[in-house]
Amino acid sequence: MSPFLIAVLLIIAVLIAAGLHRVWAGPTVFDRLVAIALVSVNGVIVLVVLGFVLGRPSLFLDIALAYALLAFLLPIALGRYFEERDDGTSRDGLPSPSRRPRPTGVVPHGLLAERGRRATEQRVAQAQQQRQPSYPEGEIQSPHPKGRTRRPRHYREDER
Amino acid sequence: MTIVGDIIIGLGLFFIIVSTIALLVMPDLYTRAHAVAKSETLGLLLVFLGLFLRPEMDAASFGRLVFVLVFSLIANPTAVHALVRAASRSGALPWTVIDQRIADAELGSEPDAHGEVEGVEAEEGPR
Repeated sequence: MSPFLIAVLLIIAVLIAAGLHRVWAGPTVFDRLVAIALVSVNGVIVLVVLGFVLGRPSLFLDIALAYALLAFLLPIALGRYFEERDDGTSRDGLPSPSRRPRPTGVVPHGLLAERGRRATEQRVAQAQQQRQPSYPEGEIQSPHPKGRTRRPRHYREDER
Repeated sequence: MTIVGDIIIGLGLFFIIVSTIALLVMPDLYTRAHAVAKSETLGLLLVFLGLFLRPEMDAASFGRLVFVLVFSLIANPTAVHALVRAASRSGALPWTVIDQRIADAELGSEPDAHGEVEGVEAEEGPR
């Protein structure tokens, strides 16, 4: 009964709970399956360490081996099951992943969401500053050979 | 000996914690799978190597621990790779920082009210 190993067990139990959040919140079924792979590896570690804590490592190692075998088969089997087939359909009940919107720019969820949103605002503001030189108000003379007069483009955009 | 084992177990625990945090924080499937496949496997390896140095270790569990270690070392990245291959064949696209709003603002690729695209001047001849 080592207190250090018990502390390790408790920490990994917390990590399993944290991994279950991704299982619950994952946007696609593959995110959930990756989280399940992590949770089952953590489960194998918990079983082995629990055997050492309780003083019967060989018994718990047998259980951990069986669990590791099952945890190896589960993501492979479910990954093949949910894989998109040649006719473009997939079994996860959602529209086919290739027809879903591409995840771009702002982090849609997770702890970095607010940071990504702020970075996007900053870059858009910077680009708009760079693209709007200080023109005088009103119309300006064009260097066009026919001498036609036109207004700078960003004024038109402002009119919209 | 036990202290060395505890240090190695603590190091492995660090990698496991990092892997779980990455699973929660990372923005898309591929980065999450990267964390699960590599960091988690290294943490498992270090925790099991530390358990070899514990005093509870006996001869009956030595071979079993070696087998579980080697099997997990092979099986965990393989399983995650199979998952990500299935997702990739299903058309899951990697996350990218190029936002459409940023691209419009920086490149000016958005057509304006007159249907003209920036950089391509429409020819205005005499009518």
